[in-house]
Amino acid sequence: MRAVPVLVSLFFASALPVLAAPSPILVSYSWDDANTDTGPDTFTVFRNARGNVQLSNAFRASGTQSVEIRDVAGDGDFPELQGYFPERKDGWLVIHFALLVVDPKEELNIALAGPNGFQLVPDGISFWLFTRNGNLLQMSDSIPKRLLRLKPFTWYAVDADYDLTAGRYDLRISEEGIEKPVVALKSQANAASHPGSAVNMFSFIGDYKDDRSNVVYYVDDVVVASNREVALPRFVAPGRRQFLADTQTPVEGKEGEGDEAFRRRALPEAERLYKEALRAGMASRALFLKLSDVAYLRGDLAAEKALREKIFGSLDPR
Amino acid sequence: MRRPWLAGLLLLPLAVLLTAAGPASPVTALVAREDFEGLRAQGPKILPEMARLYTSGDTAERTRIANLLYRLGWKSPEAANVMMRDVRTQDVGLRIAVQYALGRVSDQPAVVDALLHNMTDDPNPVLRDKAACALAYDQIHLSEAEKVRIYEGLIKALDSEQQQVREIAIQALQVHTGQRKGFIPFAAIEKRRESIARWRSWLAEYKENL
Repeated sequence: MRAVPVLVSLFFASALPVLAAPSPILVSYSWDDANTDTGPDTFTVFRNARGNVQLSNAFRASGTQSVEIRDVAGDGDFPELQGYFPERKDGWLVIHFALLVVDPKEELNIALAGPNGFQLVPDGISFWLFTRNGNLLQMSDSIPKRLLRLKPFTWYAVDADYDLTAGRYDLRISEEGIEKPVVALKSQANAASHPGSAVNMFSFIGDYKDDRSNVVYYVDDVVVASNREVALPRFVAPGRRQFLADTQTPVEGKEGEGDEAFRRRALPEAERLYKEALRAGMASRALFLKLSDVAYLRGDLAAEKALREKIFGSLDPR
Repeated sequence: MRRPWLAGLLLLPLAVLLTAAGPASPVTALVAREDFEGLRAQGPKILPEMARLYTSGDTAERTRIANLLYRLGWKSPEAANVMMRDVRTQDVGLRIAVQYALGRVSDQPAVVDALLHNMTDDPNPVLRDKAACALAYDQIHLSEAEKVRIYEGLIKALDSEQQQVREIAIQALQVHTGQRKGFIPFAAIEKRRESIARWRSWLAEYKENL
């Protein structure tokens, strides 16, 4: 959570927003090729030390890609996805993003701040979510307040309607697969209870203080808008998860046949075909994800988790 | 049979002298050179040795070691215990160094209590101010639950009869929370008490969320 940008990543060039006529959308990133982003500003990526920020198709709340943020404990720094938008200090702000965490016990921080940077001061941090001991918390009125126990490998949609003038926001958090929001709070004081505090940037990082986080998490569908009526990206939850085979471009061979079976929800057949593809030496990452989707649909969450952890076996400090 | 025993007794001080006069430990040399990077490279295992050197050092040596412990920022009960003996020393340089260093080596409630006492009751306003600085910036090992002790002390100090104590207490609270909750140290007592009531409500909510 730095005040000064250092590096603009060309890697994200395809997601850079295009200058447009005045729009209520201040920020909109879904990191998909087909997405036409809006908004006059851009974002910065800090791939410091051994951490990383990169596009990923391992998990996505919508479309085909999300952003993976990976921190490494003890490497002396933290990776960061930091975005900018025109400064605002009155009216309303609508904030939306989707979040998936691999291991909720690892620390992450998500904040919206103003020109005074990521500190609890006027025109500093206004909106601040973070994890601690497996819980998601918000900083409100300078008090860390527990919101929910996070589940691994689960998408959460975060929506805040923020009255900048009053310095208060309504917060809703939806979990994939659950109809009702798991968090629904009204009129929460902003981070340090500063009405009229200006905001102009957001940030997604690991831990900023103790350098103990090995967090890996995914962010998708980031929207910041000035109009409460703006149409936000539809969250796959409540109700269902978006599965890789349902969105991926067609592939050939056993994996493609497995996809076809999966789309028919012929799960045993899909599982058999995916395993045959694995045995044939095909690229394993997507296949493990597809097998984990099969396990999820069968209701075998332990198997789903085990399969996803085959991909994230590299969570140890690098 | 007494002779060997006596010989041993006589040799003992010689052995002690020889040990004391022997080559200085790496830590001793690093401390003497104030070689912070060298000390840090050794890792936290050096802390008991630094605490021992602190105990045997003069005022200048203790001040030097306290400053190094501050910079290292590693938790050490041994270091905290020896520095607590100087937490009310009237040597200004040593006192400031110790006040700053304590919170960076310890999460002991006794450290917070000592600093709160110095902030509110020390006759020297400079040392009161520096104790408040230590409470504001240097309690790096405290959990959110352990910070309650600081907040309780600072909010209590808002009601001090001394304006300077009220000023430094609200400054420390502002560093921790980013807020003043309308507290003006020189305002009329009724106004101050309205703000203190807001701080007490805030603290109650803080505790509820632990």
